[in-house]
Amino acid sequence: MTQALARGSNARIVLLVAAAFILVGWIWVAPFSLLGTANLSMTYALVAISLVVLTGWVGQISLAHASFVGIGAFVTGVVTRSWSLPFPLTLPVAGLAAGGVAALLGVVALRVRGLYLAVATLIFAWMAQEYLFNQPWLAGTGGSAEAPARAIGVKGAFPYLNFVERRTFYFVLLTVLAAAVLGSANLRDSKTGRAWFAVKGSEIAAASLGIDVTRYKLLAFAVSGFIAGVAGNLVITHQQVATTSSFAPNVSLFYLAIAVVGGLTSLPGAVASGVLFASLEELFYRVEALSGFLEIVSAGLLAVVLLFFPAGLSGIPSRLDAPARVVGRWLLAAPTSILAAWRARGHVPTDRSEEMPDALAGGGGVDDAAVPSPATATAHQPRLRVPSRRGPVNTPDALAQTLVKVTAEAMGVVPEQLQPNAPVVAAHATPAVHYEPGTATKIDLPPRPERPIVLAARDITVRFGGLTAVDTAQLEVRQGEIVGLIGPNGAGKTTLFNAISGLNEPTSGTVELFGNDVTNLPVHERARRGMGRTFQMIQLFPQLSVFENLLVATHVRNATGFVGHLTASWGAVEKERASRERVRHVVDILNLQDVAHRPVTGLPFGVLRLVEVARALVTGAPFVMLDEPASGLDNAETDRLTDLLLWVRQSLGVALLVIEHDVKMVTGLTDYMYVIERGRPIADGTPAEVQRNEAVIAAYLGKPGKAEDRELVAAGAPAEDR
Amino acid sequence: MIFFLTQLVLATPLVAAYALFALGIVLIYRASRVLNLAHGVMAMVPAYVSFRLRELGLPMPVAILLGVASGAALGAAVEAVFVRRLRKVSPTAQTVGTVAVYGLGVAVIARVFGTTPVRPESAFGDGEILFGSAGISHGQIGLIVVACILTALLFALFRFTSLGLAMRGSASNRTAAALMGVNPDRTTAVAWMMGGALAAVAGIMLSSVSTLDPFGFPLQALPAFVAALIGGLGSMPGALAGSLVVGLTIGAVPGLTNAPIIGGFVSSIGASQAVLAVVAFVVMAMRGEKLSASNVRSAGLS
Amino acid sequence: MLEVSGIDVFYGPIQALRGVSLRVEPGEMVALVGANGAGKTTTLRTVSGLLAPASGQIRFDGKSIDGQPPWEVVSAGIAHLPEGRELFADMSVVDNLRLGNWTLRRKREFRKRMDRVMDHFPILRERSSQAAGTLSGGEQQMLGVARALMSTPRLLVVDELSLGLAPKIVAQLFEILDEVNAEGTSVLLVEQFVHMALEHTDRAYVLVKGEVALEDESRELLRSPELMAAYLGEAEVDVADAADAADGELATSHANGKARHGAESDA
Repeated sequence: MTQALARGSNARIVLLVAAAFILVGWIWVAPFSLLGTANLSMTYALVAISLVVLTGWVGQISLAHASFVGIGAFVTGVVTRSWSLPFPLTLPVAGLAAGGVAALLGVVALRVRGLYLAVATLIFAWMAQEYLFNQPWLAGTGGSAEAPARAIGVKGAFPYLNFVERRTFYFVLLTVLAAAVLGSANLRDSKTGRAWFAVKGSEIAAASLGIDVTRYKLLAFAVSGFIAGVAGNLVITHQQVATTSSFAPNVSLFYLAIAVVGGLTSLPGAVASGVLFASLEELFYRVEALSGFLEIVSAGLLAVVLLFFPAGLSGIPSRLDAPARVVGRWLLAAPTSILAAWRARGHVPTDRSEEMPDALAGGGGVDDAAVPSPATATAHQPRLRVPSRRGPVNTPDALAQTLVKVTAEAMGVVPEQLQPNAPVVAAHATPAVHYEPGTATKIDLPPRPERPIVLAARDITVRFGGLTAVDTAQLEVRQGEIVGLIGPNGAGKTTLFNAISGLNEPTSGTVELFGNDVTNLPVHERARRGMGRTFQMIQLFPQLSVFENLLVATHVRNATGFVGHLTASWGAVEKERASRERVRHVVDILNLQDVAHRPVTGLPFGVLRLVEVARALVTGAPFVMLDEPASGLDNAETDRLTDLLLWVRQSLGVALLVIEHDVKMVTGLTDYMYVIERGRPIADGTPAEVQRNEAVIAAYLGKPGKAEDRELVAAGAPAEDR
Repeated sequence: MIFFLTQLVLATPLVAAYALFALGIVLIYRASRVLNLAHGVMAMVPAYVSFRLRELGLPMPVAILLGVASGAALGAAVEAVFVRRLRKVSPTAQTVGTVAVYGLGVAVIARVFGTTPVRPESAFGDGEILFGSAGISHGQIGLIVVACILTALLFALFRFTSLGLAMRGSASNRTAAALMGVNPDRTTAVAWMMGGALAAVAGIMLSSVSTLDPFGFPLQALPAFVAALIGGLGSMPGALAGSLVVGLTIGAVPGLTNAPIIGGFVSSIGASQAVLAVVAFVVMAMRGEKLSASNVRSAGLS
Repeated sequence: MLEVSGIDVFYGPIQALRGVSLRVEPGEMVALVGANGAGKTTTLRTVSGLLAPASGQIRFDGKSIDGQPPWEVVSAGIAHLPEGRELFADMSVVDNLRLGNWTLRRKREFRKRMDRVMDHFPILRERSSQAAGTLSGGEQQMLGVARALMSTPRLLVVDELSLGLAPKIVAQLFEILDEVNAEGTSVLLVEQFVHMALEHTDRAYVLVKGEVALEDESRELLRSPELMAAYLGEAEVDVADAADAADGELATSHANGKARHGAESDA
């Protein structure tokens, strides 16, 4: 879909037509056996693609894919024999059957990880071979099933398709493979694909960005299973018969080898690997001396790639010259961009107000041509709605305020005219929406009790087994403020923090966010209600660039669905464009242009911390929790971070909750502090009050024998009265 | 009823085989946090080695000994080549590494020995002891006895020797073990060798009471994975308990063919495997981990 | 005895230590203090071999040990009790001690040594066959110290003895360290509770953001406002009050609640 955003060029169209000619034309001049190899390659490529989606992109190991292919094949056999369903109709049936079973296996994946999942899928594959594929109703008797597929049409006349014929099958396979590659590529470049990468990169970070990890894992299993089932359907349709031994567990291992050799995450790699393995099979079949070595070579290739060439075949292009690499990528981009260009040609921009409303009342992007007049905007009373099965959720958008300002400036109006419900802080907000270091100041906030509550944690108690980690802690964050949570090591800060963000379940107590009770909501639901967070151990997605990491964060703002992504529908493409605009906006604000398109691995640590903050900002969450954001930063970097956070609060109106050990940093940053020791809150107040607090000093310096004093202070006795 | 009990008794050799497999799997897992998917192959290769040596005329004990040695060597090789090198990549990569070993093992054996099943001779002779209408062969009894002896030896090793102590410490806490003066890489290698040897014994014994072929035989170890999973993967006694459950399940299922209602399902091909798979999934679902805070923070900076 | 010279240590791209130098003389008890994230634990882990310095040197008894793996460093005579103890949680108390004894396993005096070590920690005798993970926090820490002592180290390296423990138990543990030090074992400890650390040690180093900011005799540092500033931030702390309060504590070191009232005169 990325390519869909670029304009199609004439050169690409020419190239595509030429490629089509070659792909179609060569079969009339090639020897018959080569056609068989080509068909086999495409079958392998199809299964490899299904593994790329599941194991490569989402990181879920599957050693059961041959079984899914088998399910597709045998189900096809059943519906062909029992209901005489003709070929094209059997294809979705097979896909859905295999996809459904795969999704069931995915439910297991939700509970187990990595190695356990590998064993679970292997056990499934074994069970399928021993039990499922021996059931007469599914696989016929004697270990083989028949699927007498009718030919379509009348012999001699044009639309005559006999799928047993190699040429016919070639075209069918080509079409299906092309559709699979295109669809997968579209998914990869869409919100769905990014959610998948996020799940693989860091499930916790993904959830904190509003991604429903469960749903996306199951979706990946279903999609992957569907493609494998389709492959099975095609095979049996062509061969008219399928035997159980073709779907044994070691065939699954073979398929995994194909995917890994291709590079596991790469679609062109999967296709190339399919070609490679099919060619090897043909070669070894022909040459007497090599017979029996095929399996050795396949397994050997797998081992070699694992140990020495982790990127597999897809890594080859990057080893060639840059021009060759560019050409390669460009070629692969051709088909999708053609399609998009074709669509774009006749398209007329629709009235933006029909799209999902947002505080900007017109999509997330700043596109002069489409910005509505203030009249329409106020008439719309923009409220953000993120539709979901659980009912609409009103996701507040802090970033929208700056977008509003930019638009207002462009239109020469006052921001409040565009956004009637501006936050309290807007009055103090500077007109610049660009982060200039050193411009942020500690602002004078209205008295605390007068400001609305953003987050309230009440009576939070967290017990692990016999240990009480947090004991009736209270914490509030009010609008426009920066709150600090400090305490000695092992005091329970992190546990409390995680209870608020949803990673821990408190034994008792409640958490309210913007007035909504979120105590029982999972992490991603809290994210959708306006809670963002960063992590002490950086949880950026390692295989993505900075820009792509930020793009994942647009998830909550993007209401487009799976089908839209799969087909690169106009709505999906537009939303993609809008999401990218939004990220570009944040990149501009924070001056991240230089690093935006670099992969996150290899960037200096200070920059990574900044990117994590940026990612939270992209979600537009008006409340962000930061877990030891200065950890690992030196003095200068810490000062820069403090400055940035102050600016974020001032210009975007975002309220912050910060855990930190660096007391100096926290006192310079926050408006209000909570101190926790051994699970209990021992003090709260402004930084000045807290620093003078005897109990706090004692807690940090560890003076024995101050227990009574602490209680005295906590009870409110004035400092002199000890 | 008699029939059912007979089936259970007949399953005892299976329990023994699975116990040996599961012990090896757990040993390896505790030492390196890797599930050795190639365990079945590490049982099969030594079985073939011992078979070929016997064919070449070597005395039975020598052939078996060398077979077991080949199993240990294979374990050490896999650890050195795949597990150690891929440790810094990810546990997933290590697991896929064992998959590669599986593929290579099957492929090489198929090439060298062909795919026709063979029947190695039993170390314990061909006699049989009869239970009513069913019989347990000497080979199967031998399997049970050897399994018991090896299990006892293993437990003794861990309880009473310094090597055992070092291995337990390493498995419990790698960092702490290093600080005590134990080299965790070395204990891991030993664990893999022992796991390989255990698999070899199981493979050699088992192949002589069933058949040996490159594609089917490695899958015999799969129920042992279920056994290890049931036992919790972290403990040897757990592995034994799991093997009991698994072996009895596989034995008991055919024994229920005369039972009402489920008799029909149970007599279909592969019913015991299906039951076992369900059991495995249920266990995994109950033991599973959800998204939790413990995943967020590991050793931090300070 | 232990000489660390100018070590730089990195976690991936992050520099955790910049040119850190320190030394521990035979019989000394030295403290390493500083805020979290300053690099204290990193320093200890580099000394014991869990981390390797990118540059700089570490010498123990004149022999270079930087870059050596931990299992070799411990045989040189350094025992490291890591932050969080890192016990063998599923193994018994005795087994934990047996592993502590690993470097001396060939010398057959395990029983004798265990008895001597248990003399410091009678409670462990009662729990000798219990799994280490079932002990209370304080008992676990005691086991950690006991286990470290089993190898009769010449230098005991202790990281955050007080983590998660009540002050009374921490005081007890520090007393035991005093005894161990009196018996001739040098001690290098990292401690979050500055006051406790400074009270029991001869010298101390203050680490700030990966560098040694202060080095002095512990007694002197106790009196020093700069120390407090390094901790609590410069601007708004009433440093003088805090320093005087700390001074008042010098008179006693027991968790019996009398200290505060007894010594309070100037504040």
